[in-house]
Amino acid sequence: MFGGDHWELELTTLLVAVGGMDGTQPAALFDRAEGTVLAALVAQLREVVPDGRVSVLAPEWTAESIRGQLPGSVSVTACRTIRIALDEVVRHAYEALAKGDEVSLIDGGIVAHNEALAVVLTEPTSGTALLVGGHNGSSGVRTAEDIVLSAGSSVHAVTDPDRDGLGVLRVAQTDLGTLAEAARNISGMGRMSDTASDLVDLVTVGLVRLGTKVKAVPVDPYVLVRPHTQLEVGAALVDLREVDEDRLRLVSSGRPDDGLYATLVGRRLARIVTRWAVRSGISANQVTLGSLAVALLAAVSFATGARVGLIAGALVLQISYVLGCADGEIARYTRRITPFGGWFDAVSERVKEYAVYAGLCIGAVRGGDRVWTLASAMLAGQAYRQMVDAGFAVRSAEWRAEEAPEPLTLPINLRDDVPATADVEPSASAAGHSHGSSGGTGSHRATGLSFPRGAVDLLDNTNKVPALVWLKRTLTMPVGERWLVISIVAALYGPREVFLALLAVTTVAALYMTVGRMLRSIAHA
Amino acid sequence: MLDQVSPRRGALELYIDAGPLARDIGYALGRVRLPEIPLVLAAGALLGVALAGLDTSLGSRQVLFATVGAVVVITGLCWSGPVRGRFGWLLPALVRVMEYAFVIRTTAVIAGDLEWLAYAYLVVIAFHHTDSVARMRYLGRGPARWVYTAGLGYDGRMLVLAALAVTGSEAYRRGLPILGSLLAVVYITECAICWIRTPRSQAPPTRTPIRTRRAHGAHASTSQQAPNTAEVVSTDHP
Repeated sequence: MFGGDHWELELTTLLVAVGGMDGTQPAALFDRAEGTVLAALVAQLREVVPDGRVSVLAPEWTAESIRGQLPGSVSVTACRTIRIALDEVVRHAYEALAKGDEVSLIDGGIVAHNEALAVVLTEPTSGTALLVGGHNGSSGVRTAEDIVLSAGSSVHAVTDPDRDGLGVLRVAQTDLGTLAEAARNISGMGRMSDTASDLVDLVTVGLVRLGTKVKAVPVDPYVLVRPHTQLEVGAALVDLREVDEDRLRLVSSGRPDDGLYATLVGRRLARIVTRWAVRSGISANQVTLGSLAVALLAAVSFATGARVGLIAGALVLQISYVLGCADGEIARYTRRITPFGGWFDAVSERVKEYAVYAGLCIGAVRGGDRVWTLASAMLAGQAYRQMVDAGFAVRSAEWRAEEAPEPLTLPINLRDDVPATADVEPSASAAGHSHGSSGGTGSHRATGLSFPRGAVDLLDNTNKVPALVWLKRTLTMPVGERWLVISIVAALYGPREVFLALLAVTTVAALYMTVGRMLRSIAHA
Repeated sequence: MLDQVSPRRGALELYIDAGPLARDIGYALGRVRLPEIPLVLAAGALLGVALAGLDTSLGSRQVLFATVGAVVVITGLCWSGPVRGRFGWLLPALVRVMEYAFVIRTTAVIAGDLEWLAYAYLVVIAFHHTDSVARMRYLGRGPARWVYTAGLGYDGRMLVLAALAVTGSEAYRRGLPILGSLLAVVYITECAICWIRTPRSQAPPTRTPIRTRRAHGAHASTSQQAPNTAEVVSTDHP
């Protein structure tokens, strides 16, 4: 995904499938404020994915009137039967494969927030993804650890569904060949495909049953409704209005693993910066650069060694911290997430911190105190923490890959997702997985109650108590907490005390991180 | 929400940052696999003793050089293949601590007034490793292979500094900044080349400007503020 030079040219094909090829009234043609549900959806798609190419697959009997409702640049293909629509999917899949594009399939009859569409269509995910919501409807899916194990459609049943597919499916480049195969398989289903109504659900079933790993992306906190009647459209519009989409989008631009200080102070102030920067068109990288410059200013201020300089530096460092929180938010909010931006953010954070250490050391020398060795020891502590973190991340990624749940591969013409020969196995695996979806480790093996296993379970159980989650995150001394220590101790005491305090908390953090990860390793093996 | 590129196999070897010398020792050993953690801990203990006993006398400096040589051989024995073992992920951290402790203690004894140079030197090394981790995480690949040869690895860097320390205080005082500068040039040049060659834009440009503040629905503030219960895998970046 990151290797090619075709990024600038990348176009996404957005296939909007209008139901009703069996002659029934499709939800896409219900009335919405001005125009139909379909017309509103197409306008939204063009806004959310400005470089996308929208293609509508419409039933032949109403294709002309649909063409009249939509802008001229949107192509509308008249499909007499669902098989012809499936042939179109195959054609688009091969075209996109040849050009290096992606294909997304969207149900034409959905009423949704822009952001609900965006979380699947524009997030830089590296795989095929399906938008899902809580289970209460007909097109259920069974998931484990955010992988769709089995999907349903109007002609395919799902055992123990836990969520609903919402009719927004993004197919990654690498899965386009499978998409074509899936569409052909569905065409070959015989009479079953004639009675099927929803193309997106069908194609999802086709992909999953060929063993494609489809990521389930939750729509929450945004709203997406697939209305069945005109009345439900009105109700859906009310639901949409109840959610403040912009505010949610801003809030969810933060990181889920923020520390206590970041959540209580950093994020709140950063949100003000983010609003301002997005409005004035300032990019995330510019804010990162600004944060770096401000931190260097703090370092210079610390280097004066005077009490005033230490207090000023402490305050300026906190400004730099808030800017450093905002850059990621801006990138996520504006969906301009680039590899360079992530790298620049991570590396500049270290450059800032080490410049501040140097400033403190220079300030100490002016006061007749030599603390360079303490600063170097702090570098060692930071390097250790970083390597424990990065090294363990490599290992746990390997474990996750080994243990990732596999979708059930089944022929498309089976109605149920339970193979006739082994009807016990799937539901057993579903029950086993349904607990592990939030734990992240996924290692729920029956290994008895050994010490490390018990200790890790204890660690995981503390995740149910918010206060303990915060305590655990604070124990690892994320950047916010570290910089807070620097600011407070520098302003009240002096450089030597800063390093002694930093070394103390870093030692505790390093021990905590090492022991916790070692226990997880033992429990995993 | 953001899907980071998961570190690939081989990332641990990259983080350990073994130079050509240590890699060749491992290579010469072929398929023989030795337990890595005990060996690295033993090497660390040896180095710790030599560093603790280090003073300005020629004898103790020679002992340090010999010990660094032994450390390179012992740790090199571990790199005969991909890192395995239950605690293999701990190896980069252990190797880093050895390298940093060596630079801090040796500089403090041999050139006590140049502690600031040791700090600057370690910042260069820290940049290299932070860069490696960040590029693996956000770009899906680490620095080019030649950096791990030109950068000498932990083994080469320690041997050069130990040799300078044996030669004399003056040689060490001149050699440390020169080595640090050369390494900085290598690391920064390769990093710059990498980003110049990588196209920057990936996600489509934005739309929907933020509208001005509205009354916040009760809806908005509840679910998002609650801490995510998933395990904190990475805590290093804001």
